[in-house]
Amino acid sequence: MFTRIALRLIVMIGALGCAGVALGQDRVHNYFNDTALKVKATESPVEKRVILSKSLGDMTQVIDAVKRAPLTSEQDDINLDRVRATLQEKSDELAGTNGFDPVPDDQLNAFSTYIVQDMEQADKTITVSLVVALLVVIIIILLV
Amino acid sequence: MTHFLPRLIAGATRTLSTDLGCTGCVALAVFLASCSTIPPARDEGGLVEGLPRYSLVFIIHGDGDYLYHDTLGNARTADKEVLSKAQAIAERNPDTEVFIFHEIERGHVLFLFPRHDGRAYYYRNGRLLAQKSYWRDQGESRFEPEVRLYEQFTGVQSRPPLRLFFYFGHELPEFNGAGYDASYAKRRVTIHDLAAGVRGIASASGKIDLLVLATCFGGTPSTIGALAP
Repeated sequence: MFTRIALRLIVMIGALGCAGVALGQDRVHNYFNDTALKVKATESPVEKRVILSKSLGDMTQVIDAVKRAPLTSEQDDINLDRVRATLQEKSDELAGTNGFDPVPDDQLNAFSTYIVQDMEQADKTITVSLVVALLVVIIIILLV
Repeated sequence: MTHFLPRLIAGATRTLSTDLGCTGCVALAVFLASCSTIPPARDEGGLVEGLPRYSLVFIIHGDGDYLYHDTLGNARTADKEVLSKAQAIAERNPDTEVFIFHEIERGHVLFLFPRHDGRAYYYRNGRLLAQKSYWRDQGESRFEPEVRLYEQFTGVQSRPPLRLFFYFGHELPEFNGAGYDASYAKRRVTIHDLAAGVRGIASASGKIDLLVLATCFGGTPSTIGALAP
């Protein structure tokens, strides 16, 4: 029985490994797209801001958790810091802090679309190790 | 072990004989299922409707993160979008010959057996004359597989007078280039590799009249210099 469980675990890890990096990037893209859809489905600007703020905050938490993992490399940390800085910038713009004017209520839908498109830009694509990609996927599933 | 495999395959294919020859053919057919190859273009008298005026070569990079969402939240894959448009151009323009090379992520059958990671299409006068799956790691240079297929498809046919080349993908860096191909983490791809590929295709066809680089940051002086004739 233990052999069977071990074999299944090996197959699962192998499968995740093959798809790990792609899964990690796609999962992040889909995460922000889901946020944009929720924002657009809501009428209340207050609720829109809460959704956006929570989404950016949760993803920042994911990145912080991944960085604390002992298996990430120095290059991974550099890449993750870059994404974290981008997320912080979006939070500042949403709230109107750190020199930004706050996003007006009637532009929150457009702002959510902008976040999706900005995070999907080629230069935002983070090249991270397989371990980090798997951690991102797992933590997104657990925390969000 | 040699007796186990035929029993395993026979168990999965109930209608087939357990004879080793038959089961071996079934296994071979399954594993080669992705290798669809149509014979190279040939003049079959009646199919060719005259020398096309334009020759278009598309290299579409899809071995990376090309997922994006439109403003309605629909997920799209950029390389597949470009592929379908290139194929539409090929089918709707009888005055052209079109070569399309779609570079995709290398997948595996049953997590072990690698699948082809490139698909080539050759159209002439609006008709698909050849289609081939190929490996992108066969050759001394990055784009050698595409250059070889281009030469194979063109054969000894006369070349159209106007030749256009299109590359679609992420930014091609000027140096380093590690990780550009998601399937080949250790391979480095730079703008200089593409320039070598373009020269390979141009040497086969004579010249390139128009080159379109549909990537980010494609207009730097260094990039233009690398691609200039």
